[in-house]
Amino acid sequence: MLFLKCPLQYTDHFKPKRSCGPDDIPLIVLKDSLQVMAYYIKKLFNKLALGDKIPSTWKYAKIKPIFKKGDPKLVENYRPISNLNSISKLFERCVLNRLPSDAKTDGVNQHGFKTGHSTVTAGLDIQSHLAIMSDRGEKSIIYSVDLSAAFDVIRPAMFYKKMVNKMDIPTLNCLNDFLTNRKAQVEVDGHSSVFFSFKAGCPQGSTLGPKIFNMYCSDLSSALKHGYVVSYADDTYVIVSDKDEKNLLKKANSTIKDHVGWLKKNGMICNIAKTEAMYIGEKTDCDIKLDVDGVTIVPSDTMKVLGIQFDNKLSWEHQVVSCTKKCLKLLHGLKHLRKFLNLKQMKQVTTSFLLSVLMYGSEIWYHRHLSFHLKQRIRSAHYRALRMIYGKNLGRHYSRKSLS
Amino acid sequence: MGRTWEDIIAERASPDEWADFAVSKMFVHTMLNCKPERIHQNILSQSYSENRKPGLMFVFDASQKKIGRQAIQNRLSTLSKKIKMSWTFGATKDQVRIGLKRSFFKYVK
Repeated sequence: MLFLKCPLQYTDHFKPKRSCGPDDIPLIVLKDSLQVMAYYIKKLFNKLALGDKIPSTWKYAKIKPIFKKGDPKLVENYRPISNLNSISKLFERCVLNRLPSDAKTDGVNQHGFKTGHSTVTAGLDIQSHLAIMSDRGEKSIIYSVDLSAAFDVIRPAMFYKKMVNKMDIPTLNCLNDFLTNRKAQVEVDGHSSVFFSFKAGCPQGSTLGPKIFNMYCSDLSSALKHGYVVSYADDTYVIVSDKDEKNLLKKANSTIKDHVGWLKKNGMICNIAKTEAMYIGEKTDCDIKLDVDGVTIVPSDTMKVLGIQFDNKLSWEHQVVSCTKKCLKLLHGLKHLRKFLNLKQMKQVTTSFLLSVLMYGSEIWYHRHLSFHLKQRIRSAHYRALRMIYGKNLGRHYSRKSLS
Repeated sequence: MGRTWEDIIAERASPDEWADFAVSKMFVHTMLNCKPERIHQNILSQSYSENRKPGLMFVFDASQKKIGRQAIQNRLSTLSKKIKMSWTFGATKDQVRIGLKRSFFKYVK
């Protein structure tokens, strides 16, 4: 079961922010005064963990809408970030550190909000599986499912039902209590609404939120018979493989049906407009069409997976072209900075801007079997940056020997 | 003639070196911490170690096709041969990182 050590050790995780929740106590104040209050806070937290209910004022949140992209007049284009009470955040951090972190609770397929995992590991998992299937002579279909407002649909009762056999009851009660009877008010430009309550959903901006989301989605892979599931937070990718094309299509459609059923059962809404699919394998006369909740989707030749362009031959041509194009645009902009920065600063700026774009996910797509002209393209962007920094242009050409 | 001038002034890794380093770092990290689990299992299924070289791990390349060679476990056979240091026994995170940089980057002495 929980028991919480001194909360002082968790304060390092807190950023010294001055923003505050409904209690109007900024985190920075709590952090500075914790040396004095640690003993009493620890006593209070232990009492809560042993079965007492979380104070209702700790469940209040001040929601500040953060603009994402698109039309600023539409409500859907805003992300509801909750500012929570600072002491409740400290409590969440203490609980989070005591929660189990294994495949049983988080799910093997989930790469988001987990230590040692990232978008690169998720991409690598997908790429590795596709390569193995191709090696076995199997054709594959990969489809992605985009969830709308994934955090806002977590139902406390369903969460309890899913987790009841996976963790101890007092901890689960504590988490369930954290999710129920929550209230919030919206604040825009200094004007705030009245407090309103909501029955489902986990506050975005809370420390426990991502972990609870992972736990909520942990049973997805067991719900699908055929699919190989890889998730990164609310982005889910499912790979279905088979040697025979007709069987593959049947499997893919039944997997999608199961997937949509699972989403509906859990109260989640699938954004069909953003659902994509890709077919990997030799093309034949068979018409490949997928049915997603009554909408037909035709698999395309390329697909963007967590910022990396996958193509149906795993040749990575689209990825290399798109990242080098981005680099050239960036270099064009950085040229204007040359007058104002010295050599060291210029190096720093170029490295930080350029390399993050050029070599993002290189573990996945940059390997020794990448074709010569694609490697040359990457090198060209790399050297172009160097020439820009040092202001020299020797005009030499590459040779195959120099690249080997 | 290669682009030797750029290579000299770069003082940093070339794309090839960087990609090799990044994959090997992930390989070592995955094997030491068993995270992510599925990638760990994939690598483990095709790896072996020799008694005369304790602390080193070698990986088979079991691929049949060109695309199959892209799978993480098949790409590691050459990398694991390049890693000369013993990283499985008692090496700290920093030692592993510095050791890998020495193995893959020319500019680290």
